[in-house]
Amino acid sequence: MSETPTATPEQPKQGFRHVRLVVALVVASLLGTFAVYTAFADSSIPVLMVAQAQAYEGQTVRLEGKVTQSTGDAADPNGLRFTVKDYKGSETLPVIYNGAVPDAYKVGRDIVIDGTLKNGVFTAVPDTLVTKCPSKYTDKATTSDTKS
Amino acid sequence: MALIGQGALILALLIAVYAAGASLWAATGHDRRFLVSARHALWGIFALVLVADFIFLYALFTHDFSFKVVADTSSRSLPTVYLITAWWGSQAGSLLLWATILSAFSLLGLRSTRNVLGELQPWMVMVLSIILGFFLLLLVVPASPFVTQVALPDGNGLNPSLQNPYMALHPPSLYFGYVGLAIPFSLAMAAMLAGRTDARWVVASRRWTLAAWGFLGIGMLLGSHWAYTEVGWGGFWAWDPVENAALMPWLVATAFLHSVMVQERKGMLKVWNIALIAGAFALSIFGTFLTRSGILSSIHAFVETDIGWYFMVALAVLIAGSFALILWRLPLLKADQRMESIVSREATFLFNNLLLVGLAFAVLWGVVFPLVTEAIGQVRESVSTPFYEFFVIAFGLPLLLLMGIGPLIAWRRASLRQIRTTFLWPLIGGLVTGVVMVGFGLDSSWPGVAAGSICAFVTVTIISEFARGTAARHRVAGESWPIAFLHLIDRNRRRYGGYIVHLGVIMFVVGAVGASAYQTENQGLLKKGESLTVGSNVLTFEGVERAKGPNYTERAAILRVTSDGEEIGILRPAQRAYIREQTTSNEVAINTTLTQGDLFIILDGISADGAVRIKAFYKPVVGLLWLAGFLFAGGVILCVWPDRRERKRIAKRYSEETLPGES
Repeated sequence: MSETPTATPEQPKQGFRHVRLVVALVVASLLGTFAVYTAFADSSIPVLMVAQAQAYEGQTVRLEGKVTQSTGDAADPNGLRFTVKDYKGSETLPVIYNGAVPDAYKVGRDIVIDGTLKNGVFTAVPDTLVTKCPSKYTDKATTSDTKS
Repeated sequence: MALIGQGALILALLIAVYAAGASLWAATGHDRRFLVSARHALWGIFALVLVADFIFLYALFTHDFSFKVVADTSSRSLPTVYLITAWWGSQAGSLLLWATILSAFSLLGLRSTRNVLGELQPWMVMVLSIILGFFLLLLVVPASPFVTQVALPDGNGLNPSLQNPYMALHPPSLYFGYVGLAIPFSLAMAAMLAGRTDARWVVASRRWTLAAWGFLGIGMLLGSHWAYTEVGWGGFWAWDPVENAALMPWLVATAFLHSVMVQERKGMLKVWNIALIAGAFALSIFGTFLTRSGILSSIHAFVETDIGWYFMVALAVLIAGSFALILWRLPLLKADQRMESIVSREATFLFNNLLLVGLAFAVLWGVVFPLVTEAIGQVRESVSTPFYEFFVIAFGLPLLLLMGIGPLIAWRRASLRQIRTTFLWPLIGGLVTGVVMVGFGLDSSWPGVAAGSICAFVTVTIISEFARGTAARHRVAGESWPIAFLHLIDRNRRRYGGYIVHLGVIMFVVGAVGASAYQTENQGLLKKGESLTVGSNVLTFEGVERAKGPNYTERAAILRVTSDGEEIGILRPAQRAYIREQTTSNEVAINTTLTQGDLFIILDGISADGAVRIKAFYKPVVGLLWLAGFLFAGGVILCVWPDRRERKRIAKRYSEETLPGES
């Protein structure tokens, strides 16, 4: 920590170019990792409202909406059966679900769930039910302020 | 009352505008007395914000439900402790906390850098006043905590997930981190505005960056422990945008903490450092924006809020402003030296930076991906855990490796022979660990084996650093071993504090790898007397027990746990039904043993015939993940703690140094 940073006039040009090349290669490989990953890994999933879901029949999608009715038990082989309705709009979809139910789940809660739509029934992937937090904080918008 | 609060905030806003103007006037060399005036103005802002705080808290504690925010986030039955946490339970309240911390930090920051950086003070005051002004503007117009209504008989109560002891510590800790980054940011901007682009601002901002970074780290760890024990889905990090909001500035600040050493020592990476601190601060504002604007649920929700636009404009100004300043000062930001070799300390710092920024960018991409896809096509696409995990492994493992290589490589240019001797033992340690792990059948996860070996490699390098230093003191100064060890740390707190933080990171990684790569999971529907095996543990279901709490009814599954035939005890995962709130909550059962790890049991449901659906995880060495927090905090404190010797050294260095332009 003692030397004062003053530039020396003769720079070892060769070494510097070498360093610059390697740094450029590292940056390129980082970017390359991105490109390759996003191109080949099927990493994203469409997030849909009920009204949009029909067009994705047979595909695994993420469904968002409000729970309107709920019967059954997710621990039961027959599963938890509930209906999801769009936030704005009247389209609804029946859902069958098995697995963990988050603490905040109840009728009226906004939820997100993964699954596949087939013959008008949305069969959920087990353990993907997530509730969105109710908007207690803001006037107009729904914030998901804490995960629950 | 509300009127006084609102008045105080409006007055504070006006004063902030004045302070910005006055300090600009002083900074441009017109009249230095305006600097004194601007500093007094900051004190005034602090006092006024305290007045607003007092009124706000008074309203919370006296259940004054004519305050809209108070009615929205508290109720008469809310326990007193949670009346405090209700402060940051609302948008307006948390922004008020931001402003409070920022005005206090501004005063402290200016004070602590006064001696080192006299000529930067007016610019720093200006930048801080502008940031303060922005948050005061938010508090006055779109998010006022003092909006009144016809008083309700009772409030809506606080969101149950915020009624938790963790919520008393986790959000303030994060806020300290977010806000703390404003100080190094203001110093960097001041340095450029004043044209003093030497390492002085870096030296002066180091403790602030470290402290802010430490708070962010501890805040995240607290949040993650809360998620693990309370939310109970069986993990500690869900890559939720709200979590990522804190992780991004932390990663960039980590890069900054490392790269500033290169600037201090070698006068290189000047532009990069300014860009990093501007980026870290922008990300901390972005994080606040993410959690506060509603943009997470959808772009459309964002369009409906006012506050989102304020943040958008502020972010645009921040990014464009920093960029313009860098361009303007580019001639002054030339490196004093050039990098000579890729096998040098500065080069490892550079690669560490690229990886950290790359990782932060990956997280950012994951966070904004839904927004981008929604803006381009009509359908929102979302990425989830595998995306993030891929990048954590791809960028994180090399980063971990650099943690072991960096400290042992010489500055400027390292010789091959030197490398061979320094890395012999660490390499052996890493290889042996890898072989042992495979021998124990841990090759089920290759990233896990790689992480384990690298962790061993890094640990050996750090231990050997401590050992070498202690031995040298013992030999040269003739001190006894323990004294030599303590003196070694005390005389080089920054270096050895850093190593301790590194050890903390290693512990964290080991815990995280254990909890993710080597976790075993089993679930099943158990009738009375049936068992479930997870790891070496056998859980036998013995019946359901019902209990009644003050405002809930509880059903617990009684599980007898044995491990390798040995009785461990009874675990009781439960479900609570809250009658009034009409919600159920999972009470997970966790059995922690230091040598073994955690047995984590969730009761997923009880069917009509009395069978229970149980999900059980066995997570080896996960306890290290939490213990790492203590090492991390200890290391940070060691680095931040005031050091008289260092202060003298710095004062000496800068009194001798020539002013820029003269050299």
